[in-house]
Amino acid sequence: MRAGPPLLLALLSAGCGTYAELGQKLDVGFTIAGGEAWISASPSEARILLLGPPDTAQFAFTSMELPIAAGTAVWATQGTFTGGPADPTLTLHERYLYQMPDERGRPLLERYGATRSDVSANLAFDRQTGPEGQLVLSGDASIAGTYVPLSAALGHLGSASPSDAACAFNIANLAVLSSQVRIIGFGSAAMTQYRRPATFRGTVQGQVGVSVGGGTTVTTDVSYHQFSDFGGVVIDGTQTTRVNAGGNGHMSGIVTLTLSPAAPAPEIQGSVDYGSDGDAVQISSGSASGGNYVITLAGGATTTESPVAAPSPTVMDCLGLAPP
Amino acid sequence: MTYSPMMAPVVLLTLALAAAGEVAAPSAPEQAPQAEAGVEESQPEAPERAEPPSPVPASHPDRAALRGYRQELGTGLHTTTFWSKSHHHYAIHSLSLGYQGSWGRRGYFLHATALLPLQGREDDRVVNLGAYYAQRWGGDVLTGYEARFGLGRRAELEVGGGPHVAFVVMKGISGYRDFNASPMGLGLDAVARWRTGGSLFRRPLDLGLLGSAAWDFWDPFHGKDLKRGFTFRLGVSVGIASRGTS
Repeated sequence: MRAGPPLLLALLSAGCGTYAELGQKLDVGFTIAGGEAWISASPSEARILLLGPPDTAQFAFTSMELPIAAGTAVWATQGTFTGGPADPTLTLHERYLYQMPDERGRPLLERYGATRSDVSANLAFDRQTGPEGQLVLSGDASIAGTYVPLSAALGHLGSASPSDAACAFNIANLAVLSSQVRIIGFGSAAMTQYRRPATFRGTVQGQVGVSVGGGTTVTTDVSYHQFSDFGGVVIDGTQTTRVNAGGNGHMSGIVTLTLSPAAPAPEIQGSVDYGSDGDAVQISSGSASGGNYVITLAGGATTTESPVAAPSPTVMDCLGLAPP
Repeated sequence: MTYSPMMAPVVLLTLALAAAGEVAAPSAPEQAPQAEAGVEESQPEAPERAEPPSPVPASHPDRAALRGYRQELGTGLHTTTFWSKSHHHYAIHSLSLGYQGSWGRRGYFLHATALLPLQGREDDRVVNLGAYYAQRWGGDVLTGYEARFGLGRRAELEVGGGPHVAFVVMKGISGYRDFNASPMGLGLDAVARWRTGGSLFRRPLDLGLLGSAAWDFWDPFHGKDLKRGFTFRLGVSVGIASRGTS
């Protein structure tokens, strides 16, 4: 998870980073109820495509770079689509483009953070159904791939072993990353915007609230309320980041997770502690740099995971997905 | 804040202006008294003794009329437009109200202006700023070295140039994003004044037309997102001149 905003001076409450869009509404996301989430993954990336019911034909796509457990970059797009399950093609009509690049190497005040652009683009894919019901999309490489239903993939998760706990975290963290890319300015000094708190809707349900306080030490609270961007993955709770003027500090807070695979697989519940005693997630220059996430599942399994180490096991392994 | 090569022109200009001020003194031994006289010149009641030596006698009526200070209030329209490296073009149009002062036929000037942003434009989209921002304010400061030229018996033209700073701060209404910009650079300024013949506070009353243009190339609060920008101001002014310049 990336750190909250750095803040150099109260003067900068006016904002930093790139220029804002004039008259930009913070949250324009829509809720897709009754849709189906599909997931495709490689060892270092996860892609989730949410296709809404035919009556609204809305879609949401999120790509998350996961070379380390905290994640490094996210991009997402939302809009409408044409092409039903029986059609040989699927066309995505992009309306919004969200981007949160990997800016760990950039000075704090030069970071773009999460941005949103209004776009009007069509992405056409050849659509096939795989032998096990997969959704196989051929076309634009940024989205193309072999997708499986997320609810079915969640059935590979367990709740007994430390590895199961690590997997639960990796899946829940996808929801966290997916939410961050829609919080405009996230990861940049433009987060000072949220001295006036704001909320963003979950694509499936719930919402995430963002608030920033403090002076030379800045506290950022990101509060999830039954938040879900993909069906079957719900997070709840507050993660807090406290950083000084240099973007150095630590995280705290506990976020609970609920993973609901398709029946008959059992629901998995647990929590992620960002500020475990003596082992809180550390932030340096605005990015996670050390410490551990402490994951505890209702079944008793527990483990720790370093934010800066490669996720082990990977999302692909956790969900039993085939290599792309 | 790190040093940026883009600051170099500002630093150089400041040094050049400082050097120009020193060159205006005729010789080293006379420099100290001249400088003191220059300070006095900015005082309303001070005698006009700070003019640099000139082939034309200091008592020449045309020169005498150009001496002294000018203290004015001005209002008008202000536009700052800039291009970002993230490929957007912005323009912020504001109402301006400000103070402008200058000291001497050749001397320093300061224009400090408060802004009320009214309308914005981003790429092809025009935004009524009042509809999206609960708080809107800004400022513009242009300072540097000026020179005055006579335009007949009752008018003068003052031109100058130096460092320029503009800033616009707008806090969004609930659910909308804040906006701010603070482009900085170098600017030129011109004021055409007409001596009305009237007086205010027993000092000559002037009316003026003012205009300024600036090239902006640095925004300390937006990292390296500013590609280039320009700021323009056009307005009218009213103010007083020092005594004895009628």
